[in-house]
Amino acid sequence: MLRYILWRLLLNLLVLLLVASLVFLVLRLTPGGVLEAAAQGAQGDPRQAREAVRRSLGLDRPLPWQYWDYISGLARGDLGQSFRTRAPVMEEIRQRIGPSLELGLLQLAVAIATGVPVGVLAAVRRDTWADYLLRGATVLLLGIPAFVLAIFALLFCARYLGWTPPITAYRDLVPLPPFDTPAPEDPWANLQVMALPALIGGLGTGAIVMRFLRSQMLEVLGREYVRTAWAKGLQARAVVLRHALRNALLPVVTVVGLVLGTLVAGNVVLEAIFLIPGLGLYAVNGVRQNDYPVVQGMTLLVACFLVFVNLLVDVLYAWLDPRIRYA
Amino acid sequence: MPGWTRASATPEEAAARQSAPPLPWPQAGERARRRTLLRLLRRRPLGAAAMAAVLAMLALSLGPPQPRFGLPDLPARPLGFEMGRPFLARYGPEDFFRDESGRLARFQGPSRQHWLGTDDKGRDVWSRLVWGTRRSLFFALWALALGTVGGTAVGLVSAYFLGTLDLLLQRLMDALQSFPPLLVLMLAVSLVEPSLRVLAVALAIVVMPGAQRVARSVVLSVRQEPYVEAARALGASHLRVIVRHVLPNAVAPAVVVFTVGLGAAVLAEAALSFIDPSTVPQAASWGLMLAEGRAFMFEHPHVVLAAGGAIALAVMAFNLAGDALRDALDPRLRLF
Repeated sequence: MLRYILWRLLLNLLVLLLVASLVFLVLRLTPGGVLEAAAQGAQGDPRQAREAVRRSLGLDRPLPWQYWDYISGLARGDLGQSFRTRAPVMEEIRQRIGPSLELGLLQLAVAIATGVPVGVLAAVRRDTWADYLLRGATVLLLGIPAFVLAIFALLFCARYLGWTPPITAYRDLVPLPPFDTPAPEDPWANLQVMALPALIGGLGTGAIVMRFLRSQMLEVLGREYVRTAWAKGLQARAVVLRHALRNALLPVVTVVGLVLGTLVAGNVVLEAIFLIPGLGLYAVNGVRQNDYPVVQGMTLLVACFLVFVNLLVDVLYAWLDPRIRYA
Repeated sequence: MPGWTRASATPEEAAARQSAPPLPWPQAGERARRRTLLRLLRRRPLGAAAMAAVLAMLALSLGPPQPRFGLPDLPARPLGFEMGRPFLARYGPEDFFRDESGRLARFQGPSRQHWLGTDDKGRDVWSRLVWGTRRSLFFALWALALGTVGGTAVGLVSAYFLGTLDLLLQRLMDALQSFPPLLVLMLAVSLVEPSLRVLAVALAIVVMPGAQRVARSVVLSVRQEPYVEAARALGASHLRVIVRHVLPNAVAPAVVVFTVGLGAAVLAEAALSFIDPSTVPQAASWGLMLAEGRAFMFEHPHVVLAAGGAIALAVMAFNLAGDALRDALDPRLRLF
């Protein structure tokens, strides 16, 4: 097992190096939008302004040198400085990770709170109207994209509930490390902003969890040990929850892992609509402003998260189900 | 006792069978096909409805072909020749209208002239939706076609030769897969001259890792088969073995990957146009309409409702049709 983990870690490092190199190359080999933007904004000769910007950002040095600086910086945990704000990207990411994490965890909570009971219910009441109704709802939830749902939800709330979420009023719920920022003034205001995006993203994920869990439950409910449990005269609750659900939940771990993997920058659209100052919005703005170090840092961060969450899921899986062995 | 279990037939029977007139295959096949369609309708009414919706999308996007040829380009030349105004669009995408007093006919409700009303610039919402259908549909088709073909090729080569090549190719695919799709699309339009062609290629790159994984798993099991070994022993080249003996196994899964991914591609294009409306190509698009309509959605929600409804319907139709096709072609690919 340890050998397997070490081998996977090695492969992961290779993948991350590839990601870093690919982004670096793509950004450097395409005509630079950042220089154009700078030249347009500057007074006087646009050519000179472009050259000045190029020198000040270090883009005039030979490509291998830039690459070496970048990669050796990564090894030290340095993601470079933002072209725009000149602040370290690492620091900017640290400031913005809170809202994203909060939104992601809220979504996960909504997803599990809806997906698991609904999945169990649909499996137990298979082929009844309850099953059809719940499955129809998941088809709808999976089909309507989050941003369309968000727009419709805003419209609905404003028209029929007379309420619009205070979109610009985002406040951090939890102070960030090193915890010297002032404590959240008003958790209620925070939740008002977060409620809709958390619900929308969470229900979408909940639909995936529900479908997955339902088919797993159906398979497990047909197993012989479940029939034995029924034959022993156990209560339905005990059979379903203790014998069937515990085994059916295993593959759901995979789904939850996948969701966690997209948690860091997966909410780009929702963060942009509800103006939540998280990593998704940060990445989008980085791309819009041709801020190479920000784009590089964010892609690498997302890749890191995905790769290691995948590894974690595989290891967790083997730990939860002793029958699974990795060679 | 069913006939096919009898091992020995009498000589008379064998002769009678040989002299029997050829069966009327076309009619029988046609009947079988009709029965399949009926069964589909009965067993998967939702899937059948979704397929009808996809066909309706295709009908919406067709227009009179023009004899002007060239490399496929979106949205004017989706299939290599130019297509005129969609038959079902009543006006051009940028035509604007004035009311009787000569002012711009903004925010009109549905009427006989404007089935879904007009938007903030006095343009016909229905016509823009129909023009947008062509963009969404052919964008998805092209992106998925490129992605599945490319991915299948990579998967074939990777799993056929294995070894270091496989190890490296797979890591490259892992790397590609860990890019956030929306950011890749945004990068593509910010780095080079934005066009739907560039976007389709960018999305194809995003799709490739998934497609190659499916092809790879098929090839991994097929390459052990005796007939592959036999072909090699007979002196067939690697290329011949791959194309004639291995590739046919990967076609059905590739078709499934293609159809199941279409919904996500429509979604990706709409999401990009919505998030970054200033940089994407400006031709009529559902995502753009949603983004523009957002500015006035509380007073005049009809534009947002129409565009959002179109996106949701299209994504849902593609998802359900893809699921139905997958169950028919290759149920093993079912995830849940």
